[in-house]
Amino acid sequence: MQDRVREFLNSRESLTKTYLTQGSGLEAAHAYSNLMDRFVRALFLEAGFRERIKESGQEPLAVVALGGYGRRELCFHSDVDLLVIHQGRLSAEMNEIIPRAIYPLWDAKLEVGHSILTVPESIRLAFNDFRVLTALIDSRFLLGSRSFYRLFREAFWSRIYREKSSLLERFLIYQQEREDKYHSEAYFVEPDIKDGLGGLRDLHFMAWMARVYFRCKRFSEIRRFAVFSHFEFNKLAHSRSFLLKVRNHHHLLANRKEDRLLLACQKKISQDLGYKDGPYIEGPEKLMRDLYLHMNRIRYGHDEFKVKALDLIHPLPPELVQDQITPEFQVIKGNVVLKEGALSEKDPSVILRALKEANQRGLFLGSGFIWESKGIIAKKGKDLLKSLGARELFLKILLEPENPKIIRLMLEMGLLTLFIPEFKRIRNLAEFGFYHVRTVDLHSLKALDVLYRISRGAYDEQWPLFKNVFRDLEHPDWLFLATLLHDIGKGHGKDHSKKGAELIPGILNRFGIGKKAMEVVSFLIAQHLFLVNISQHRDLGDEKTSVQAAQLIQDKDVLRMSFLLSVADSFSTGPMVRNEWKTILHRIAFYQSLQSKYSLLFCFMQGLQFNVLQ
Amino acid sequence: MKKIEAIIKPFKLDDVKDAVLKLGVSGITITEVKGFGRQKGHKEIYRGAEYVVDFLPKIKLEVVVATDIAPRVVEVIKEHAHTGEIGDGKIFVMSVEKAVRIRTGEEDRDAI
Repeated sequence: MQDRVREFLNSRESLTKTYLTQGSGLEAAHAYSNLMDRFVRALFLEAGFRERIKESGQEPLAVVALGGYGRRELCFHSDVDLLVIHQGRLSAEMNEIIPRAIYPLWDAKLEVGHSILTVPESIRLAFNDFRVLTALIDSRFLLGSRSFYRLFREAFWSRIYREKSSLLERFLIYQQEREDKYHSEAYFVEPDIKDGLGGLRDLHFMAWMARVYFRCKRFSEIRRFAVFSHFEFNKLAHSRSFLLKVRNHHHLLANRKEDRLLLACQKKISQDLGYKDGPYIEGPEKLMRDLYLHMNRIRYGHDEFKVKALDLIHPLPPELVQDQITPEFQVIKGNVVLKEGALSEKDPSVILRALKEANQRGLFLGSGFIWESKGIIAKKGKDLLKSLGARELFLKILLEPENPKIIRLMLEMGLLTLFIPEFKRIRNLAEFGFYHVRTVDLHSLKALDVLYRISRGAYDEQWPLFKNVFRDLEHPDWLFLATLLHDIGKGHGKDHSKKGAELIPGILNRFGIGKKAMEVVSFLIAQHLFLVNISQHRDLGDEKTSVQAAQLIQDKDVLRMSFLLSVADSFSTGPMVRNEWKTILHRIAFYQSLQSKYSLLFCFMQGLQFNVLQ
Repeated sequence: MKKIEAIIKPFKLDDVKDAVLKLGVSGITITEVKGFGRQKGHKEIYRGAEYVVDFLPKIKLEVVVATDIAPRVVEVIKEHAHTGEIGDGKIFVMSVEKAVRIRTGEEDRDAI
């Protein structure tokens, strides 16, 4: 037995060496699962299992791989979950064989989970515990009696099909619990590759649903349903493989089962995966940029899948919920969809009209609509840009955000980068460290959301000043533009404020925005850190500070916008930036500058000389 | 050993920190705190609406040093946190019985 363990460990070591340098994440997971299969089989046979089968012909017993091991998605420190299913009482001999076979797995320092159950026991357990249920959904025969395993599968699946409607709620609760847990800012910086949103679990969930509700043994079989015919399986498979690769590296680095990619490991893993520091973007940021790309793709694929799948499982009679809103669109289940027919490539601007309707009504788009639009935007983006009134429509949605989810959707659909190609540079751009919890693109959208919430009085209880200042703005639309674009200069090296301000004329020109607005937006972006900096590094009690601020920002309306932009910026950066203490300082800085403006005017009116830049 | 606790204006932190470090002190703990002394808060009036800040943001700085250099540290903090205006803050000095560096178990002078 000890030889077997040594042999296994040696094989694993050479496997890790091979696959860390070459081969995809999926290949590594498969290769390691195969190695584990050979190891487990060898252990059982050596423990005396073969003789038993020969003696009694069809012993009603099977050894089964569960969960991730069953899926052949085993990473180097994943749990190895085994189940021995049998009938009636286990013979005394079998009772000796099983521990003899399993103990060496512990000697090999594997995280082993094993149980010995009869068919009814295992099914009862599965229906009491959702995790057991999903582990059994992914079960895979290893050795023993194949026909007995088939009987077990039949019993298990017929029970599942019988109870699938009551199971649905448990599937949804399971996902909801994950969402609640992983939707926090902490998981943006240090994502969980397995359980986090957009992690492997989302893929598992899709595969389980496909299996239970649409009887697809392989997830890709779901393509036979028309609504899924264009689902991006290949891209998802690629993303899965990427996650598995990172996960494997992480397991080896941490030397244990650790699925949360901690900051401390991000640097090392990025080096191991060959990410090099660039002139503007560091290696770890490149790694995280890719990781967010894949996790976002999986998350959005999952969301789309879920909506479509639930539609198929419980189709609502359309006549009951139909709500025509324009000759073109209607609302089904709270989503804006086309009234009839499919989207046409000839008139891509219908996409923007639908988004505008959804935005105004606080609704979302139908998932089929989203998917088709994505295809058209990718293929016919140029036509869309050229179509009459497209830019105006796009701008209208951006500047009058009624539903922040719509802007996020526009980012995912590729509309934001289509109309503002400069946005590509900050797409999925991670900033290494605890300070920034979101990628730059999502931070910009979040800042827009904070502003929207300010305008709605969401912070009134603690910071009533915000909304009052917002109400006084002469040009809130300029502020929305500046907020969306305030970090557009990131990814270009030092001084992103300056770089961002330089990019503004080019961007706003395309939208035909006037010179005055352009100047103000550029200025706001160039100076978007100014108020925060003086609030923390200058003596706010000293008149010189506020006079200097008032000198720089001469226009009261610009000062108000500058204040709200810096609030939106800090509130959307992360918990280390957004705190009451800093916000009070920040507010004092704004107030003093505003006051000083008046006192400065007053001084001039009195004919007094004021040397403000002494 | 003495523990020196200073409440200072936030914008003075960098100055004070640099000056204290120059004395050979190896560690400083800071906290973002709020409070008031004789200065009593701050009132803002925006468009007729009043916004009162009862507790003003300050920095609390804590440092533990050998007894012999404590007077120097106090002096340096006083010098660098000073603006002469109300709200400059206060410095408190107290005795410390024991110090332990958790990683190595070193104690007292070796631990600070």
